[in-house]
Amino acid sequence: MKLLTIINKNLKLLFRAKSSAFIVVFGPLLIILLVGLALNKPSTYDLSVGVYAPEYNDLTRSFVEELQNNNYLVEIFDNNITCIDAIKKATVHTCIVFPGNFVIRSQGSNQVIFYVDYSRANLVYQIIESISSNIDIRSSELSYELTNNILSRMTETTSDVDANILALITLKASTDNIVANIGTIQSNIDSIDLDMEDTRIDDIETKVGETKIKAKSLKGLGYEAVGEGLDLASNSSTGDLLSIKQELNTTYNQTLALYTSLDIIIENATDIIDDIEDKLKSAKSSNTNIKKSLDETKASLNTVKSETDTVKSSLETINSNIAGIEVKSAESIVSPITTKIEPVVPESTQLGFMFPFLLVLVIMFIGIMLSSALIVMEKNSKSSFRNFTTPTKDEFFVISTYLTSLALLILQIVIILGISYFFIKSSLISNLGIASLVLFITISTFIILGMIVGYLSSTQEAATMLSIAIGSVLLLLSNLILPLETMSTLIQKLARFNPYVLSSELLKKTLLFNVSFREAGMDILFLTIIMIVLFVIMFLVQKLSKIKYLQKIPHIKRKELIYVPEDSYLKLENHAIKNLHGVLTVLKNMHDEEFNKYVNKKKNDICDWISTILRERKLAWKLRSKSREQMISILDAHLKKIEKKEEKKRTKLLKKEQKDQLSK
Amino acid sequence: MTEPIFKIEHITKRFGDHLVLNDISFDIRKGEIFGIIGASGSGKTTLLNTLIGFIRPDTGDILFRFEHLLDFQKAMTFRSVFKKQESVKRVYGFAAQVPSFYDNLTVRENLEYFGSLYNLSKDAIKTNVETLLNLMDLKNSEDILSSHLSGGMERRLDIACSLIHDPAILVLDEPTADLDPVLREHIWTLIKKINKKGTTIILASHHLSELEDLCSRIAIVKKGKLIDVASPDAIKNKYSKIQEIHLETYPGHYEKILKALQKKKIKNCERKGSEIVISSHKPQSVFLQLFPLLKQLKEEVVDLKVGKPSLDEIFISISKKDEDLVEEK
Repeated sequence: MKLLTIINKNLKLLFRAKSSAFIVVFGPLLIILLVGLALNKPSTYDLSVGVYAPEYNDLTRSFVEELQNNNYLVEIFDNNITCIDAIKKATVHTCIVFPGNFVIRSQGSNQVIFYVDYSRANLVYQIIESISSNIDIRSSELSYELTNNILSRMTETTSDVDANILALITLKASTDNIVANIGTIQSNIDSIDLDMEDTRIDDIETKVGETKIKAKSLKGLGYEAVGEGLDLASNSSTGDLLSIKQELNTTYNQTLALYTSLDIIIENATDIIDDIEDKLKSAKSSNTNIKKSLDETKASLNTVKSETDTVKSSLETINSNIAGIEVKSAESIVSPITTKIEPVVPESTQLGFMFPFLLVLVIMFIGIMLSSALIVMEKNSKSSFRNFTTPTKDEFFVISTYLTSLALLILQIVIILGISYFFIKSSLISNLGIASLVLFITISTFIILGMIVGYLSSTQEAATMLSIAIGSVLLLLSNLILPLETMSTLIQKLARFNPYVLSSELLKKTLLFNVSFREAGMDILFLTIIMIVLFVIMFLVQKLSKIKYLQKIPHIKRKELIYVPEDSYLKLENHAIKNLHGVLTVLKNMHDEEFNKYVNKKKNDICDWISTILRERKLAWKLRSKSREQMISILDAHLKKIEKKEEKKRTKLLKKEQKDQLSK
Repeated sequence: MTEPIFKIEHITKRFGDHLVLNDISFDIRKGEIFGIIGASGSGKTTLLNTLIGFIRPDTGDILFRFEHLLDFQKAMTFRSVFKKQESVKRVYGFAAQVPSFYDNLTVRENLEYFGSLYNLSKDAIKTNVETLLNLMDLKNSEDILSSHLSGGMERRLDIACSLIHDPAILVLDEPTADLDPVLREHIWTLIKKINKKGTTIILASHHLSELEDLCSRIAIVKKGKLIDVASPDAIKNKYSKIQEIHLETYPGHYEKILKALQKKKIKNCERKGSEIVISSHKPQSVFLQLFPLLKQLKEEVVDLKVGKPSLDEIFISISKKDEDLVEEK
């Protein structure tokens, strides 16, 4: 009953203080809604990329298109300086500078330079990874094309080599034939007899001479015959014999002419024969040469044959080597190892993966801030004193604060989970028991932490600052901003005790991996131990805070000292001063000599009195070691300030009373 | 004489080097209005807080008489408030210098909330709330947020919160601080009303003249030390042998009157507002000289009162005396 009343009161106070109600109730919902809208997208980043190339060609354009096709905002720059400046101005995330004459060539390398801003530590590696992977993809495509080209050439070469091997075989056979033919030729040549018998031209000449003589003799004989015939013959036959003689003469002459021609012919024939003889000699010589050449050719052909065998063998080796290449796919050569990144859970948006971290983040900040706000609100409330005077144990207030915060946070988490269902289409239902337990411990841990903050803080501002500071430190020492693995070993060790890390990891395992209680048991136990430790600390701090509060009670400073007994008046010469106005008036009318009697190096009666009797210690401190004029000025300002405050208060009260009367 | 309900026994309290309470002993009786007076910083609030067990003294004890033990176990009647804090809290209500309630709760909600902290039943809370709203004249403001209350209403609500569990003792620390005279009068009237219902009231105030009419007994505290505890009249009689003549005349040339009085060797006279106050051990002898003088100055007597000096002045004189004694020692 009592507990419920206190919780009810806490809730009323929270909701009636509009600002805190807004922050506490709508703040987290707004945060998660904004985060949900912000992160509810596939896990790529909206990166703007500056590009500069001294000259744009198909290759450069292909890279730019590749980036554009992958939803990067590509901005082309005229030079690399403006491109780099754009990073500094944060208009682009990275600047890619392509080399001049960016072509794929056999000699030299193409270096693409990435300019990045390392001060954006949380994004820079993702930029590098994301952009360079896109460039690598395009680069791989190019490598693929080139490799494909090489491979097709290799295939062509293999078939050419095969064809050449066949040709070589044919060549070898032909060479064999040629060698055989040469052998035949050689034997044929050997069989050619170019030796010439001694020509009988002289004999012919001799015979012709003999024939000539015989013809002459024959002519002589004919003549004789004719002469005898004439002698013997009648006149009728004499004509015939004379004609025969004539004819013999003619024939003889003709024979002589023939002999002359024959001589010429013989001479010519002799010449020809000589010529033939020469030629035969020459042919013989040539034959010898040919034979020699044929021998050489044969030797050469044998060498060719041997070389052909070698070439054939080489070509066969080449083919065999080519055939021996196991990987013949360009894709396999370009990327012999392919990687595929698969989420262990089928979530598709960043929000899906980050949801446990964000949920714990909201729980952490709201838990710390809400409970600390409740504690400080109670501590600084006018009513805190009355609460102490009631027969209610401190534990009731502590537990009621815890339960109020718990109720509010659970309500918020339920709403957040409801909203998040629309974004990430996942719920706790799949692992409801463990998730609820983890959420309960998480909420409790941060509420208790917030209560410690509340008990340690004296003002709402201090509590808020401390809450934010603690939240930020816990956040910084977690994986959410920078991976813990990038931090020092000591920090990594400390982070093991970070309730944010513990609870977010635990919730992640629970929501995303559906771990069983047995698997999550140790982590849950560890988190529970931390919660219990914090709970003990909270109780100790609460006790200390109460002691501090009680010690302050007798010293509660009244806004103004209404009554100063006469014996406590400040006595300066003939003046009896009972308030600050009096001090000011007397100071104004006082001579410096008189002033120096009370305020000098040894003492300062005015400051002492203001400090001890009026209890205006701050003012007394301000007035100390000051001249009379300075004191007047300080006091005047101080009193004017008080007067202003009083005036404000009076106006406020008047307004309140008027309002009350109107409401009545 | 009624039985005491509080016995304060030689309590001493220090905060650091500062001795706030110095060997204080007195008792408080059932049904009385007990006033504690002292200058600011004299230790009144510390004394009140110690009285209810809020601050534990360095030495000494405060004993409280439990009503239910009274009849059958006399020996066990008084218990240390520090050992029975929870029980003591049920029998007193405390209204501190600064009103203590929730600004963002209505008047009724505040009363109901504090009622539930005392484990009162719903019916008891309802009855007590109604009674207090009527008693404190807050009925018309019951649904107003407390932050919207005027100064006087705030004070009344604070006292109402202290009374929600119908305590036997009401402790009030400066109940009229920062209030104007009309509101102060209203609060004093309320306190009287509450006391008439049988509630013992312990209050600390620096409005000594107002306590004079209200308190049955007064404790004077100075610099943590108890100077005296007695009824206002007893204190006046004890510490002041002189009487004061308060004179108001027309046309009221008081400067002339004062000069003339001083010539007649009546020196303890001064102007206080619209009257002249003459202090004397023998007022009759003053009158013998005063009336002829007024006639001579053509002043007509408008008002004339003779009485003991106010508690304020007594307090100041006691303080001086105490200081002198200290100096003599």
